[in-house]
Amino acid sequence: MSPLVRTTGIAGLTTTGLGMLLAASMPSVRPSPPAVVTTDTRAYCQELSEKLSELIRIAPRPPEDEVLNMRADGRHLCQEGQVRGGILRLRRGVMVMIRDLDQRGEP
Amino acid sequence: MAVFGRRRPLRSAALRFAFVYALLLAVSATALAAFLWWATAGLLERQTDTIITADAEALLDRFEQGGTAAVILTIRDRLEQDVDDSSIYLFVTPDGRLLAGNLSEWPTAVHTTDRFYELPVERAGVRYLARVHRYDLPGEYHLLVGRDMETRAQLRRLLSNALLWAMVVVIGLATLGGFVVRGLFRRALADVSATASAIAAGDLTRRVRRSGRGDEFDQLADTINDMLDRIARLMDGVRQVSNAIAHDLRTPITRARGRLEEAAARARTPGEMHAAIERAIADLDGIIAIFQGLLRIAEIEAGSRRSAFAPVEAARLLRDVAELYDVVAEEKDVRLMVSAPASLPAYGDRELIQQAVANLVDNAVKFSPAGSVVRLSGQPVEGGIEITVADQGPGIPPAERARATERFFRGETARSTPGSGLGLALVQAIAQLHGGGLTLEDAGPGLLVRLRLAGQPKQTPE
Repeated sequence: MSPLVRTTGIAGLTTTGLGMLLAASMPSVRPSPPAVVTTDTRAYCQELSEKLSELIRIAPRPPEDEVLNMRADGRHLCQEGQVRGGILRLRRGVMVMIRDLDQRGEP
Repeated sequence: MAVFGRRRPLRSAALRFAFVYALLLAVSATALAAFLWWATAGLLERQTDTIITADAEALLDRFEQGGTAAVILTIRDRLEQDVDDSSIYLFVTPDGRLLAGNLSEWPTAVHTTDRFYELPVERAGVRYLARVHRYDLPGEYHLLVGRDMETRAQLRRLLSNALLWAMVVVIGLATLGGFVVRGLFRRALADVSATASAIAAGDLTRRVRRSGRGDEFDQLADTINDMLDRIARLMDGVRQVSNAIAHDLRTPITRARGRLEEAAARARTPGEMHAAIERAIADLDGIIAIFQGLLRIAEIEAGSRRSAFAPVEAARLLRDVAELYDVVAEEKDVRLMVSAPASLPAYGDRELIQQAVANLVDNAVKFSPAGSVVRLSGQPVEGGIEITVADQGPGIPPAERARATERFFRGETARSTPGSGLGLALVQAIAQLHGGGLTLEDAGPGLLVRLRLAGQPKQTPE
């Protein structure tokens, strides 16, 4: 066995060891069918849109344009198939409305 | 000249050094990579676990306060405000009916509450990895809380790629560094090997070169060179003794042979033949005495008689020697004076010490002119005793004193006096055996010889 082969062999073994270390630090993923997340669907997009509309309706004052824009953008994106992007905008709109309602509810 | 690693490359020390270097580099790189992983991907994982645990504790509080309805409402609110789009909840009845959450069904892999699970989830047709934990609520309700691990998965991919490439670089560096270390090691020892080979081939003048950096290799070179110097001195001594033996024995052997030859050719009566044989025997006895002297010195230098050491009363020994040589001194009209304390304790081989003192006194009497005085004295000194013999003879010139203790050395003033040239060499060997030494000084006029003997070593308590 030549020195080059020997040294390379040692380094290779070490690399294998590192690989095993990395593999050990990564928890194993069981090969089961993935569960489906139901909040990334058009149905949930519609549900969120209705929730935002309800919050706007019960609000004591007209909402800011920002909220209305987020609702419009969200609906549009969901209709165009960009469901996650649409849901993100609708969630932001919900957050703003709930924050406003909470602030106005304070004494 | 021997070349490292040429015959048995796998047993080369240089290769072992290179191997150790490569191994250390690889281990260091692995440790660094492991720490990097722990400090990045591991940190994200630990943070996710903390968030999941806090989220679940809040939901459990809501369950205690408002029951299932409160939990359902809270889950809905949280999902409606989940702008990160990473939360996962599932709240089911004891019979598995879904009450709230955003998972289509309970994952079959999640069946215990004592650990976190990582499982695949599908979001809008795309598969992601999620980390979830199961919690059992009173009434056998079950709650699943989790988070997407997409950020960690991206980081893991990034780190894996980076570490893979880093390993390739480390392998290259380890290989290259291994060869460099091996080359340095071989170069550092090449001169030592070349010198040893040259000396083995008979060139005793070769020495290992120093780099001048004063490092470990220079220290090794110094040690080897000191050893070679000593070997050279010993070889010179052996050569000198061999020459001296050949030279000093040739004369009496030639003389004995000549006498026997003359007797064989010219002796006319048995009496003349007998007398010639007697003289030849006397010459041969002298040769035997020389050999015995050499053997005795060798025996003393070997140190085998040290086991016979015992306390010796040196004052009495000095008086015994003086008494022995009193008659000889009187015949030469030389006064032999002894001065020693009543008790002078020494430690060693009494017979050898007596022989050493006798040799010194014999020399002193032999070289002393008529009417002179030889002073034999002994006194305690630090660490032992000192015996001095001073005469008023011709002495030894300073240039010859250093060689006077060599075997067969005969000074200019001693050429005409009978002797073998082994007396002072024997005294020197005895002094060294007793941990002491022999020094020759000018007595003005005459020679002053100091024989030092070490005292009894102190007993060390066990």
